[in-house]
Amino acid sequence: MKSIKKYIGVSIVGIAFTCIVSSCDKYLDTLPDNRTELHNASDVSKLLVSAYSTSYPAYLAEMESDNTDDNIDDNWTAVDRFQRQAYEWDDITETTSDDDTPQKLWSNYYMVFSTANTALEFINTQDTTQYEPQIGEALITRAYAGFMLSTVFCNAYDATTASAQLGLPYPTKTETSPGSKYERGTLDQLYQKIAADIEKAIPLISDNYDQPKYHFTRTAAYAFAARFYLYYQKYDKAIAYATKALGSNPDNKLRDWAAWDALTENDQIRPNAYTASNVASNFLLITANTVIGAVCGPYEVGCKYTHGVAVARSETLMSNGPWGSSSSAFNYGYFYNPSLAQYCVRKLGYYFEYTDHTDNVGIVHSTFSAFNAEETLLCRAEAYALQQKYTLALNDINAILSKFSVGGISLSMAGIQNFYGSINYYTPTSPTVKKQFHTSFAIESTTEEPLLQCIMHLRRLLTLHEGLRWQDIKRYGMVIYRRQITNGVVTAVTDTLSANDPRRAIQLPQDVIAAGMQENPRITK
Amino acid sequence: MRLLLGLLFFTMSLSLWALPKKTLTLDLKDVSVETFLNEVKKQTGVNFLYNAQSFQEDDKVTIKAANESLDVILKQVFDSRGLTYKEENGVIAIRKKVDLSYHSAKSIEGVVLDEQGQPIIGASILVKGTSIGAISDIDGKFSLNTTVGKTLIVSFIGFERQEIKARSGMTITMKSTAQNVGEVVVTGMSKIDKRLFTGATDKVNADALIDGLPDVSRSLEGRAAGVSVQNVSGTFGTAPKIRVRGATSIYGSSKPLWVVDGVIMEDVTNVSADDLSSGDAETLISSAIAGLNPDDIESFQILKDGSATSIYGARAMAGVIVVTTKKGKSGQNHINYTGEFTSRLIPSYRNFNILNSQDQMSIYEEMKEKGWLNLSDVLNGKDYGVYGKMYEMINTYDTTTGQFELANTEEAQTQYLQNAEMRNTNWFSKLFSTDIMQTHSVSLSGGTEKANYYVSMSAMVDPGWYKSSNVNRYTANMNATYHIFDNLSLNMISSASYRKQKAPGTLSQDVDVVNGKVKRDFDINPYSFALNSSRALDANTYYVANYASFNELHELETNYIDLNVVDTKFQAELSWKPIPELELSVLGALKYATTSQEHKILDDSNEAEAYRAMGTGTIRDNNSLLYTDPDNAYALPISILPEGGIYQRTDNRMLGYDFRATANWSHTFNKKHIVNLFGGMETNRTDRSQTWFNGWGLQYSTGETPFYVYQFFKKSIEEGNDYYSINNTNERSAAFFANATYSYKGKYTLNGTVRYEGTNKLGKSRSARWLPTWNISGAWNVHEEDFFKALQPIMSSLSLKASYSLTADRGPDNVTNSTVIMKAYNPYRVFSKDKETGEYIQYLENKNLTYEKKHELNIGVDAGFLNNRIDATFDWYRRNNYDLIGPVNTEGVGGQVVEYANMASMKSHGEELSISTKNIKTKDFGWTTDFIFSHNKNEVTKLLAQSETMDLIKGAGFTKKGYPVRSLFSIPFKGLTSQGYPTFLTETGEVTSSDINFQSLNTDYLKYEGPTDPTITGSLGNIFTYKGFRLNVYVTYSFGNKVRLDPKYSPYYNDLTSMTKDFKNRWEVPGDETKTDVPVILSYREYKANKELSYGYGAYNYSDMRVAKGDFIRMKEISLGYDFPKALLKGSHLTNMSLQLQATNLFLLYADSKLNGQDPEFFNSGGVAAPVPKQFTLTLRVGL
Repeated sequence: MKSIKKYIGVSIVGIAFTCIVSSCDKYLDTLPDNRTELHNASDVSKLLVSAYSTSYPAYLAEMESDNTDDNIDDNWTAVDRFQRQAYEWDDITETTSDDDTPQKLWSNYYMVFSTANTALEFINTQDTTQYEPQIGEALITRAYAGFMLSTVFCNAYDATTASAQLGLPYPTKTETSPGSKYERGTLDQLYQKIAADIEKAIPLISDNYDQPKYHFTRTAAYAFAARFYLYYQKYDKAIAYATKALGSNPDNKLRDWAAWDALTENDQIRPNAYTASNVASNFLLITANTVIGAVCGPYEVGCKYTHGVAVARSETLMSNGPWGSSSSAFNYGYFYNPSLAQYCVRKLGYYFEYTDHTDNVGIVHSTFSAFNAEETLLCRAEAYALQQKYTLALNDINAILSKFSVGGISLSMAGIQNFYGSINYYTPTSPTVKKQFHTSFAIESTTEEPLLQCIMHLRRLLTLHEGLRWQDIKRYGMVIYRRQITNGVVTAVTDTLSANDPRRAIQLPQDVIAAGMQENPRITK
Repeated sequence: MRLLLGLLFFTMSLSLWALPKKTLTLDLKDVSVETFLNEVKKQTGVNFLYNAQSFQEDDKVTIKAANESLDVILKQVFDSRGLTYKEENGVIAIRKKVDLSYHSAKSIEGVVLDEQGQPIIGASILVKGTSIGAISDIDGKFSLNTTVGKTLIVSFIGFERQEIKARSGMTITMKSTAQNVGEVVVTGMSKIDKRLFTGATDKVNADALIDGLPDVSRSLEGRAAGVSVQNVSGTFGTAPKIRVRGATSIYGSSKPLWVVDGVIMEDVTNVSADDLSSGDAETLISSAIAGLNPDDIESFQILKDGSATSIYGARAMAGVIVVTTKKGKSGQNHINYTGEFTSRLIPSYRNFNILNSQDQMSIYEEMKEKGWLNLSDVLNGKDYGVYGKMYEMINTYDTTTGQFELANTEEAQTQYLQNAEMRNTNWFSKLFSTDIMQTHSVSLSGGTEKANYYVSMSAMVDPGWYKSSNVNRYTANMNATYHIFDNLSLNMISSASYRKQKAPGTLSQDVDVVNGKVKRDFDINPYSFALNSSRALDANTYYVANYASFNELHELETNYIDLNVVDTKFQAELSWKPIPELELSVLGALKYATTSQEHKILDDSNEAEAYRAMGTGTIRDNNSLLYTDPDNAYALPISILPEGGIYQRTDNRMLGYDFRATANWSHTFNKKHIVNLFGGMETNRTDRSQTWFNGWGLQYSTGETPFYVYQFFKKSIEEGNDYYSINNTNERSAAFFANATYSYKGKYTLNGTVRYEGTNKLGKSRSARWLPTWNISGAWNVHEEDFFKALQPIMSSLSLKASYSLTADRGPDNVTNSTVIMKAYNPYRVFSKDKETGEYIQYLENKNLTYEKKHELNIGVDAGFLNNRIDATFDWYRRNNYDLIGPVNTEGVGGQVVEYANMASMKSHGEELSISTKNIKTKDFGWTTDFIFSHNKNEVTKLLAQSETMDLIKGAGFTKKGYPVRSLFSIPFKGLTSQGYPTFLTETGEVTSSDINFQSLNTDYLKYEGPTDPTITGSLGNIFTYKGFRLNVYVTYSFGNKVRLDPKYSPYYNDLTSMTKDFKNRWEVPGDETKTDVPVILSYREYKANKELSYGYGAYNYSDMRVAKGDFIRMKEISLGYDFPKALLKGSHLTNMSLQLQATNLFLLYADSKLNGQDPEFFNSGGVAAPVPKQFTLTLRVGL
């Protein structure tokens, strides 16, 4: 009797235990804190607000590019070790101390993948037809992140070598445990994946956002596709997408440069106007954590390595072009002050977000016009030129100049040929605006090259401080140098980046390499 | 054993008992009493408890009864045999009836007390060789008709039988039989006979508590082997850093679990172990038990090894401290009062290494010569003292006198500076007081067999050791048990406490990693102010800080934190014994705590005035607290706080529910096989809510009306600041547990525990949340063996124990990503019109996330010698902590290069020894000694990612693989240069004064100093008693750790700075570098020319020059108490009264001379932190 009772008791306890454990699981499903979950399309849209990286490679790329010299003066110092290493083309050892480090770029752009993939994985459990705009945004942000990473950590795409160049991982699933391993693949594979996502995304994207200028609208996506296919050397597609972005009459979308130039150079007035969301030219705005607003702004910050007088005089803001002197031809006034090294166009703001009010601790931001009408027009002009459609290319250049130049300068093909044909190629001590191209494809020398030199010259001016020059250097194999400038004069040339220097692909973050990712090749000294 | 004691208490009150209303039919003839009792048992089910010697062997019972009540039958049998009986819980106890008639002819009177001085009721006192005897009454008193000098035999179950010579007015103190017998271990869930307990545990009785320490956790210092208590701050409400057997986690808190009366106490807010020393306002609510009245505590049971803690399994990795509060005792009705009066000593400059004002002024003079302290820089500067004041007076024209406040002549200035030289302001006496802290506590207790109760209230009124630190705390506690039926009882406990506290206003501290500085803005903490402010300053003069006028005394009046804390607990437990062997109980508890911290920054405080300081154009441009409208190109900086002050409020709320159901079955088979099974389930739920609100522009002086300008909000939006925030967390857990104990005759015991626990804390993943934990252990009570008798009495007891276990904890609070964690946010946008709201991924999924775990092997020996006059306990353990949360470098393709995962491990081992001896024991004089020693060593064996230099050199230290969990490292100092600049070795191998990177991940060049947690802790206590006097001398010690000295060096100083005497020995002229290691005071020119020199001065504070040993021996307590003899109290209503004078924390018997007065336990981090003061306490205890 007793033992039967015992068995009954045991089985009751057993049954109760099973019931309790399963009901406990429900009890334990309560979220431990104010974390959120995805339930509907609106939640997914909210998640995709963070599919835009808060790191942007402009500062790193400017430091690596020929827009920057070593300006020697007792009062001018580097911001920090990161700035020096970037300028000197060293592998960067700083990890998270600086918002502009390769590690921050790496993790923030890969976080875009995780964000997009989380959204896509949720959508896959739902009725996907209800989520088309979200699918579009997730795919295009993922493609853009992959593209931006490739511009930093890979060589420029060259169809003849891409299948032999290192690519980057392009994850299409979320990571579920730390320490997952990835293969880099080839650059060709990477570009194929980016292209596939772009093509899939573009038909789905809508313009229906709370803040459309901070998201991939159709226009922004076309502009991205235009630049991507230009870099991908698929010029038909670049032209087609640029045309979609610009519409039949690009003039409507161009910036009112004269009005912008009339603004004061003090404070954040010009940056505010340049990156205003109501400017038609701005296709996509991105606010990132970066100190470039100070380094390329009117501040005594990082003066040692910045866009200084020597380069401004002979290659950029004060250089001569087929339009005459750049400093007077354009609605593109710049700031300088003899106590600072910087010659800067006030496009980038220096905005301080306080994290601790009274302690003056915070994060420094700038807003970038990541895609705009002028840059898209230049992409199309370049694509036309590379397809030997010189007149169309010239038309696009003149379209830009109609507003960018004072009084609407119009260039002729002969004027361009004469100007760029008559000047010598650049050397570090006798600098000119003409750097020799080293490309695997042939460039016709009488028309095509002067036209491309003109487009590169304009691109360099219009995208100054924004990091795109570094891509042009890589794409055209330009040889650049590290120069010391004392009182505006080149006093030493300390390093050369030859056309096939492996340092053109910036080294992966040291922690990432330490975790097992294949590093970029380096020539051991 | 307890049960039997309880029974006998009631035998005196004969009229109170009642037997089961049962009838029985008997027909027995000439049977033994035993047979008779067996028959009764068979029919009624009642059990009997009796001493077989009560009956003569040939005593035969004959009885015949039909449907007679049990009562009548028992009376009939026992009355004639001089026996009486008493029923309780279905058991009937039979004992001899004592002839009370002797009472009339009394000649000898006495009282029987237990070791705690409590009366023993029902003890039998027999004159040897006679049948004359007496039973002690409710007050333990007895009287006997015998003569002085006769031998009395005093006996009572559970106590040692004594033979003692009779004399009048005698006090007989009964000693509990053997230490091991009858003692129980309270695990918070159940009580276990200590003989059957196989784990490592320590019990600390309430009498070890130190009077005048209102937070009981501090009293545990040195009381239990293996428990280290570091008073990193002495401020009331701040928890000390408690470690049971050292650290158990690298990133987790390693905080032991507190269990009060069976209910887990949760902190209202989670303050990590490292943040306890931060001095931030949040530390004031870090102690979960600050609401406990020390007077209500009966005992602490500290569960140390995995076997002892295994019933708490997945929460108990860092040990468990079980607190039992007092309960009423049946038959003893008492009202007790305790009053404590504490006065704290004012710290003295004699004990600190601080320059007097004369030496300080001479250094200022040097600074002036070096280009600092010139008029325009100082007057436009952020902070200034004596010199700035002088310039200000020279510049201030007094219209009434028609003169400048200070004439611009050399004599006037010299005179002014001479006055400052002679000033020697004693900041300690200006800021501290010896005002008496009072604690009054009244408790009522008592009960009957049916019910008992304990009710208490207490008030602590503390005017504060220093300004703005007063505390009032009120507590109430009720604990009542009612036996509804014989086998059903209900226990209800409710407690409440309210605390009102004031603290100096403070902001959170933060770390400037670039310059290598831990800093806190607007710090007005009196203790750190007194140590860090020049003694040349006048206490009543207003100087300048943050561009606004500043006076410490005024600031303490106008910038403070008001803290209100309410802590309540309601709990009820129902116990039911359906059969005597089985006890079922259910316990439910609700805890509610709410705290509000109101940081009040009054209108004319320095902190508020700093927001409107724009005395000169230069100040206006430099004051970062002003606001310049970005939309207006020509805007000038304006104040966003033109009127009023600031009201910042943080509210924390915690609501916890606990529910537990348990069953306990114990049975002894054949008097040989003792089996105990215990099992149950519990669920816990803790909901926390924190809100913060920034009340801007509150005009305290004008009817508390807010006045704010829209620019404040505009600025907040532009800068991405919130003016309020809410943070809610919900913790849920459920657990099932079972424990089985088998013992053969109490000689060999085998024990096993399993717990299966789930929590929502790791996220919504169902695979990660459940964890089984277990333990297996055994004990051998050698003294139960026959062969042991040969060793007695030299060796009186010996037991051996061993256990092996797996316990766990949930890891650091911020690692909960078993599924991806998404949070809502507002991405930063420059313009408010571009803002939108979104969600982002905070942490990636880690589907393998699990609990932090620990394997522990414990081997223990308990031994008693010389009739247990020497008791020794020794434990040895080895721990393997694995699956610890640590950072791991990944390929970063998920978006996070460094993730936290169960990737780290550590190991530790240690030994613990407690020896207590009764050195001398005579009738009047006694001397006992308690010696406690514990040693713990740990080492991180696996840690995948490295920390940066700054983490390793900070005072709290950090760890690397191969080093202890909290290790202190130093930047190696390499001497002074010929200019007097300090030089250091860097990670690149070069020696430099300037190129120092505090964020370097390469830390191999750092010098390892030692752990920051002590490796050896313990105490030595000696108690001397003479008649009613009791002298207690208690010394605690701690060895093996290193301490970072307060940072005193800076690339530049101002005329507010106070310096240490080391500065007298500073580098002054070339050549000094061979004689001294104290760097030069930089000239203004040198500083401007190479600002990176400031890295060198930052590094000096973190170099091997600025480290001391943390070893100390502390005279923790000297107390002298006196118990007034009963005789003296006779005639009054008082039953007991005692007085005690106690000196706490008096001095350090030993400490590293490099500390120069710095308390090795205390982290001088400013804010609300303060050391434990030296204090005197007078305690009065009265009982009725």
